[in-house]
Amino acid sequence: MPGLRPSKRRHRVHADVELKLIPVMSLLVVLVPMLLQTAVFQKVAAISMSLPSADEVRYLEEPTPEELARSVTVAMTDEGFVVASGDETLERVPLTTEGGYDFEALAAALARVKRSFPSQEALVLLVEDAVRYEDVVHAMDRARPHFPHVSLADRVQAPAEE
Amino acid sequence: MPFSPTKRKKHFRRRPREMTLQITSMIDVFTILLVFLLKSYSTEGHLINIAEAIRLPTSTATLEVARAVSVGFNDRALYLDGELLVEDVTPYLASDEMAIPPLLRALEERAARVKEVAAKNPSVVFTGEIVLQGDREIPFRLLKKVIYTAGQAGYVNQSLAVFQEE
Repeated sequence: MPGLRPSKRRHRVHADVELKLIPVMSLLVVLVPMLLQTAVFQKVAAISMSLPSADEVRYLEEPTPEELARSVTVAMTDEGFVVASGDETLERVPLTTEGGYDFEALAAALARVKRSFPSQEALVLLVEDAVRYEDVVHAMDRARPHFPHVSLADRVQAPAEE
Repeated sequence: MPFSPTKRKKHFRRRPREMTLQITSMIDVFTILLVFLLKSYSTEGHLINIAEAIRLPTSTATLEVARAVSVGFNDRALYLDGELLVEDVTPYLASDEMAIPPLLRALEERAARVKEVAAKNPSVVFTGEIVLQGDREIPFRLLKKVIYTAGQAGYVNQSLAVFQEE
């Protein structure tokens, strides 16, 4: 269809059409504070750990020497981490010069240990009484990529040690 | 067609035309805010109420927190479901006894109540789930005692509440 020449009569200039934004504004003013109030900026997560239930017989079974030799433990002491398997000490991670735990070195040490125990999924964290909870959680974080099942245990300071 | 006012009428139009606010840009800002807030809006909401005095440690864990009984504790007080239970934990922390008697009593009461309901209503099951909200500064000794006490009361599916690290 050939283009028609626009009529010369239609020359009325429309004034600027103003959008009626006031109702939208009212809506936003109500919605934004409401959402701001319910917004969760700090998400809470959980670290699961199950204790053996009292009626589980498995709890009472002694680990076989074989199992003990394969087990990996990390002791958290006031001198740093000690990674061990059974009775054998594998790695020692001393404290940093500032006196804090050296989590990066622990992660590296655990990666090395994982290579010698590729099938081991569990790790026991032996923690001394005075260790801060935050450090325990951070140590669990570092251990989880290599050993998904991290459990906590109490480290009793052996009186015979030194 | 608008007609031009007569000279006389022109005289009346002294005051300026009605002012309109330039709210378009404000709408832009609000729209972006709205989209951002809607994106971060989580329908889960706050499943657990954390006592104000407790600052959880941060962790890379991503597991979702279960709806369960919560025990909060810092180096001074102990809270059960957000309510103050023990005002001063130091004597329990120092004692050689592993369990914390008031917490043990309160948890046992709760467990007994849930088990009683569970006996009559099959849709209620006692799962033994509990969320431990420890302050980041507490010593492991306190955590150990709380874990032990909860375990004694039958709450064996324990989880540690932490703040998610970005």
